[in-house]
Amino acid sequence: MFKKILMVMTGLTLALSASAQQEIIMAGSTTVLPVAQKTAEVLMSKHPDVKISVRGGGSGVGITALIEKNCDIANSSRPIKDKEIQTAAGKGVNPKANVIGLDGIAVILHPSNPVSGLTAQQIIGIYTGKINNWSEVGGSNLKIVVVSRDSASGTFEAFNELALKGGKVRPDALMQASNQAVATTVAQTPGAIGYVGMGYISDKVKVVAVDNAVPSKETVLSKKYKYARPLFMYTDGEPKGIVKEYLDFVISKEGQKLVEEVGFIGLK
Amino acid sequence: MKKEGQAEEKKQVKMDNNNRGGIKMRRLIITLMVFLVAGFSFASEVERLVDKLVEKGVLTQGEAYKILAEAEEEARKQEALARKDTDKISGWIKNTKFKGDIRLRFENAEMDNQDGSSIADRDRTRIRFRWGFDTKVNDRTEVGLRIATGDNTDPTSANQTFTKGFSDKNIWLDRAYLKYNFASIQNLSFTAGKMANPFLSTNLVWSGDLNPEGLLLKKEFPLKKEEEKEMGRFFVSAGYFPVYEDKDSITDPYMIGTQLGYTGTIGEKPFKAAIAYYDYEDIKGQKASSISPDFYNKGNTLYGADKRYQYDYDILGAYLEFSPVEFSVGERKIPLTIYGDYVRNLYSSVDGDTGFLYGFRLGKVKEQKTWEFSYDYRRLESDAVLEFMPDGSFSEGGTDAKGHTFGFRYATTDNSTLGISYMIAEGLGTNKKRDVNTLQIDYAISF
Repeated sequence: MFKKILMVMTGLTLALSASAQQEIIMAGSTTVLPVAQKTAEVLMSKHPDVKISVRGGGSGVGITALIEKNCDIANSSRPIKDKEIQTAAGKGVNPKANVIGLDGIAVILHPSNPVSGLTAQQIIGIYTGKINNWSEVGGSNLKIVVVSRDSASGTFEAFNELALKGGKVRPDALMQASNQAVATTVAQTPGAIGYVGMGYISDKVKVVAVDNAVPSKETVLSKKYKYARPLFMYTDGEPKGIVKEYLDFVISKEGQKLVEEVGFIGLK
Repeated sequence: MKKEGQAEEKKQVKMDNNNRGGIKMRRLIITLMVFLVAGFSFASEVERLVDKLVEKGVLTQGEAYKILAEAEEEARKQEALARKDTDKISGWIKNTKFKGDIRLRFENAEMDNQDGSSIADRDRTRIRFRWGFDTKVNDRTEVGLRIATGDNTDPTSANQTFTKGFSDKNIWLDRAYLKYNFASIQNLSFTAGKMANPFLSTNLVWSGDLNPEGLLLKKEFPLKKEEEKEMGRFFVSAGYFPVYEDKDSITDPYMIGTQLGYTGTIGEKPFKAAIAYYDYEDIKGQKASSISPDFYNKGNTLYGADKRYQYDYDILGAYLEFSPVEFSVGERKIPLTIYGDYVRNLYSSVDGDTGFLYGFRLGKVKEQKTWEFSYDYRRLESDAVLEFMPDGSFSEGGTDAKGHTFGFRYATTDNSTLGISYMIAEGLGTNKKRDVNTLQIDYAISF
């Protein structure tokens, strides 16, 4: 009898301790993904009772998950749209923008490409199909292969607005589902041009200057680099509890150091 | 060790307090920014203020960026939420246009028989009320509906006479149609139902109040002189329109109507032209009283005691309207528009097979104090068109008449007009159509 009581008590204790574990679910932007993963990893190592799960999918997917109450934080590399705000309000969700870092959308080429700078106008020409050969912008006689992000991507929308000014991406562009896929495609294709968040810049691709500015902390903060944008973690209302603790950590000095470690621009 | 620990704790507490103070300060700044950005839109002022705080070292550039971005997002959110209530209204309601008009008419008709004997004058006060809407259900589909006064025995008019001891008057379904704009072929549309008359003409051929029933396919070809400016549109329309359904017959009369035309400008002068072919099938031999129960014997050639149509109607029509001159009177522009219509029934052995109209209009009624004067002369032989097609006022409607129409309209306010018209109609004698002189005084309001 005593044994049974002990077993039940042990079971209850385990169940209670399991339920005491706090969980944060994050979903969304693949640009913000490295920041989310890195900061989650560090926080979880400090607080074993906190479990943070991070999913990608794109900014649109993250914001939809927040609206549907399927996540606590929606990572987004673009501002939430008016329609999303209204849909959220209809479901009792109040999306609150929390800026956690900055990014410059880097225009990248294959390392063998001799072109080192483009004008904003030339980039519009290339992405909308008016410029088709690198020789038209001072490069070698090589067909331009345009690589872009799919429409669920916040980077796609931000690039569309900041760089293309609403122009339509040419129909023969290779649409990729993530920043990494864009970087890999560009790294493997000699005539390719693509765009990625700064966190995905590597020596396998060449970053070109846009109107004589390359993305860096200085050019982004001074707004000299035109394709600069904030990175968001959206919450339902003012963050509370463990979500607030996590976001406070992300914007703390330590968290911002991690943001810079993964290639983005910190706020401090 | 303990002291070290206490010192560390104190330092931590101090840092936390500083941190809290900093957070409070930032919150205060964010709140202020939101207030300024959302309430007053002093965006550049706010930016300058934040820049100053950066200069003074209160904020880092990154923090300033964060504050401004979050404040801007918050302001945008408030705007989006404020718009939400209006956006709640269904898309199709927002894409709906309601239209209506009411016209009060005094009419005097002075009628003579062909033998010269006079019939007493007829005075009538009449009302025409129409109200309806057109709505865009989605990107491709439109639906329209209009109700109107009138009666279901006269397709050429929506007028209702004040009579029968203040009895209530009927409202009828005047139009009800859907229109589909094809996605794959630009400017191609399909319309089905009881629709606004799609054929360009004067009221020699089609009464302005007549709304045909059937199916219509229309393709337009925009003509562009420059990149941005459209000169006009060529169009081709083809439709199937049932005229009468007899449950005991498999040869019900119908009309296949086709028209090829242009609406737009020539040398920047308004211009319209069209050629049409209205092919009525199986009219010949039909009882006129079946097809249009109370609107027959108005000029077409009928035979037999039960009055059947003697001919079929294969009507060729040509229409032209052109505004070559615009006179300037003070600041007002007074356009001169000339127009003409020609019809011929190509069915073999028809005696009275031709009709024509020519006229002009000086001025154009638009906003308050604008006016127009018009005149036309017409001759419409007995079987040039079917009698239920032309204007219902001239010669009491129908065919087999000729004469003059004078009209003057004046806009008393932006949406109301006072008009007077006088028609001198003389029967051509083929089917004993009498002479009728008609005076109409109208007051109309559209909304």
